[in-house]
Amino acid sequence: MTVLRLVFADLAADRIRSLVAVAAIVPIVIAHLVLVAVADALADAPEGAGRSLVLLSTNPLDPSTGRLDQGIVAEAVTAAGGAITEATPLIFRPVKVGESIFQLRAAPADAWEPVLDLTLLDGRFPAAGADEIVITEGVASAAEWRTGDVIEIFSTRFTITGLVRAPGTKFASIWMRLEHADRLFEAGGTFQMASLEVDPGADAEAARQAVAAAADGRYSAYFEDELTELQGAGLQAASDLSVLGTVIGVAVLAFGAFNLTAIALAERSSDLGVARVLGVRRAPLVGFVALRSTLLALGGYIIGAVAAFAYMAGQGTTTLRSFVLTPRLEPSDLLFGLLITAGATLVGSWLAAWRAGSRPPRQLVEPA
Amino acid sequence: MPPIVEVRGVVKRYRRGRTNVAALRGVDLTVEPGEVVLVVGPSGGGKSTLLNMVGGLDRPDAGSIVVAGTQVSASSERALDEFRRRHLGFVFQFFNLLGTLTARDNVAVAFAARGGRSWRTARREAARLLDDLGLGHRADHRPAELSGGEQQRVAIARAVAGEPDLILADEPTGNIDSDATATVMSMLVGLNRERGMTLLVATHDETLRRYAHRVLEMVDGDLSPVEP
Repeated sequence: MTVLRLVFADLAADRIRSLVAVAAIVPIVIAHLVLVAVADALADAPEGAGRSLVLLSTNPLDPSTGRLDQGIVAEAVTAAGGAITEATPLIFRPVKVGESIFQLRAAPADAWEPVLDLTLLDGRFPAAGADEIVITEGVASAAEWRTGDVIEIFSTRFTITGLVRAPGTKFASIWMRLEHADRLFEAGGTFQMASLEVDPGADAEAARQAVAAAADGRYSAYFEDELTELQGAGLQAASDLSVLGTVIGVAVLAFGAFNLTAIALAERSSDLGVARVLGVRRAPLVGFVALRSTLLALGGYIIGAVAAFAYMAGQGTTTLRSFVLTPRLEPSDLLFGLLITAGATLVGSWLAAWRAGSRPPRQLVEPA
Repeated sequence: MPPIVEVRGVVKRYRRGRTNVAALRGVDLTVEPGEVVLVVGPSGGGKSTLLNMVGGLDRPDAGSIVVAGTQVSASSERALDEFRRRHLGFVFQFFNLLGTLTARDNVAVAFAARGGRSWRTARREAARLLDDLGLGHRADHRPAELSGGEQQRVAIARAVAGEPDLILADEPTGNIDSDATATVMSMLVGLNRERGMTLLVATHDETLRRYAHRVLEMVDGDLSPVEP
């Protein structure tokens, strides 16, 4: 208790330096926690119709370059031997609107609700022949668009007629009628994906394998949630790497703490010497110094955590490519960061103080 | 009563560049409890080295030092910490107060370091000691707000916190004016008279001879008695 009081008295006596030391830690902590929160959001299990198959002719990470037609879909349906109850073609394009990239999906209007599970939340679905679209909640949140807004896609002005909720909520998508997209992109009846509904009584895995066997490398069949996971994996890896980077950044605090403590002790070696002269053993003295540094680091961590929360609350959602994420922090994330910060600082400052304290008291009292 | 300090044949050499310099050349010294012993001599003569050896702040190359029954020259670092905590008080030329603490807290640290009391008790005892020594009105000031003489008096208060057996004062008046010198020395001698504390003072100030029971001269590492 006495040591703690002395530490606080010492920190208060040199407020400016204490505040500077705290301020140096805050940005690292904010970066670390925001990235961890984004990584946590990405780690959410993808939702989606697990039994639906998605037919693709290309790399699942970039479906927009694929090319399928009704002949291929019919062939896949036949291969599945009656397990497929519905085949829905989908035109897929990434569209950049402002700073964000969203998925544009187009499907036959009669499949939106029963097959693709789109639920109308506000407004209405696009009318045939009109330059109209609907957007998902993710897009509305990320782009701050509302029903009635007009946006430009591929040089055509579209009116947003409604807001929908879509399965696989990680996707922020803009929806258009298939025939309209076919005209807009001059697709000539081709499309990028096909959604195949598997009969509830059928073996979905067997159907997938049968379709894959018939494809002979020309196209692939994925379960929808598997595809979602695949598409999210790249971002997850990048995010994990960023988090690792900031963890290393926080760990570098150990070296920073070592250097800062070493410099501070060089300036105050006389104080250290006086304490030794008074009979204070090296261990509690080192403990005092390490505790002082660790309290500063923890102060920085707490301020950084509050700032990170404030930043995330202000942002609401974050858009990474077409993923709209709501960053969230788990208590374990905060605890991990806290332990890394405290541990790194404790080790660094302890080593520096131990090294400084190993000099004979005479040398400490009478610096060279 | 056995002597409080017994130094026998102590040798200390320092390396300066490529040469070895003998700071102490077989020094013998005996100090009886309650004595005020002054070690005078020019700067660099070995006075501070002797005090450092007696206080266990440095180790001799040869010889033996026994202080308050402790074999200082052959003790472990931990034992020396304990020895200083129990038996010694130090006063330095440059005061060496902890700049971030008030006068009261500087003294309280010494009380707390001696153990067996809470920080609150240590502060209370520090306040009482500063009052006794006429420094109560400066208790809440930091060293930077005190004059040199006041700082040295606070340093003396810190040294006598917990009533050590021996006070080692290394040039205690070396950094203060003549008025403050008289105050500081009166304070030290008063502590010797009233509390029976033994004083071993190193100084190059010949005017301090009048405060001592015994004066020794240290020149080039050799210690010899002189008339007070």
